[in-house]
Amino acid sequence: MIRKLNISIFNDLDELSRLASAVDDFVTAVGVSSDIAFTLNVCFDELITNTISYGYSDNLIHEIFVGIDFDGQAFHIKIQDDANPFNVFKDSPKPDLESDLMERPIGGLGVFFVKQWMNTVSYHRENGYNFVCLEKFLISPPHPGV
Amino acid sequence: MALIQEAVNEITIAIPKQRVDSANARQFEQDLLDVIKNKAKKVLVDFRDIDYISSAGLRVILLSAKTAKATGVPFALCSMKDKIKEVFVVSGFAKILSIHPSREIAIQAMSSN
Repeated sequence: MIRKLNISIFNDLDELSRLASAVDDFVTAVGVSSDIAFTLNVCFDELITNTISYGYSDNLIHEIFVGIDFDGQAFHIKIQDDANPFNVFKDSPKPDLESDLMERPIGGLGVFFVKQWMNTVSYHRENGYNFVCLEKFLISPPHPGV
Repeated sequence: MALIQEAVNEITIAIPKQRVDSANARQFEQDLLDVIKNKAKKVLVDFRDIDYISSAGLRVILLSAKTAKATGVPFALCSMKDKIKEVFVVSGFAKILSIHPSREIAIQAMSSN
């Protein structure tokens, strides 16, 4: 049985905590560990914060749609927005994970987290919308070093 | 977000609340930098209440650690839940910051230097 969460939020950073609550409730309702809710919420936060902060050329209110399907084995996620075209997975720089404290650049980690924690990530542009699709499997190999 | 503060010996302990996300990171940054710049001798950030941190929160921690180092203030973190610790490990921050398992261990470590 597939269970779905569909939610739309406005392009306002304060909306992220409302999205996070809905994701927490959904993950609890399908009977999955709250660790997954944490991972999903960090990824949504990183991607949608980018969109809200840098994606729009006007000061108007925009809607961002988040859809999550859970089929018992994986979460299949789609994020849709009408911000400027931007392939977040292609156009974001690789973060520096090695420099000493004082040389370590501030920022650039958000998209890295998404790539690290999701099993698949993709982007496409269609009919004036950005679509980011993600998949998170319940059972996946552990990350090296964690 | 009110940053609760306690003091033990010469250590100012800052205790942020529950969520550090992009919506409240700016306030967190201001509060934590205030603690570091306002005559604290040593600063410990106690993560016991933190259930959520995104890269916006990590950015504040990195900036604070740099500011503390530049001003000669020892700076450490303690009491992270497993999920939060993972964020610090994946980001490579665990290698460049002092992270202690508990407040007691952190205070002991910071008092001896």
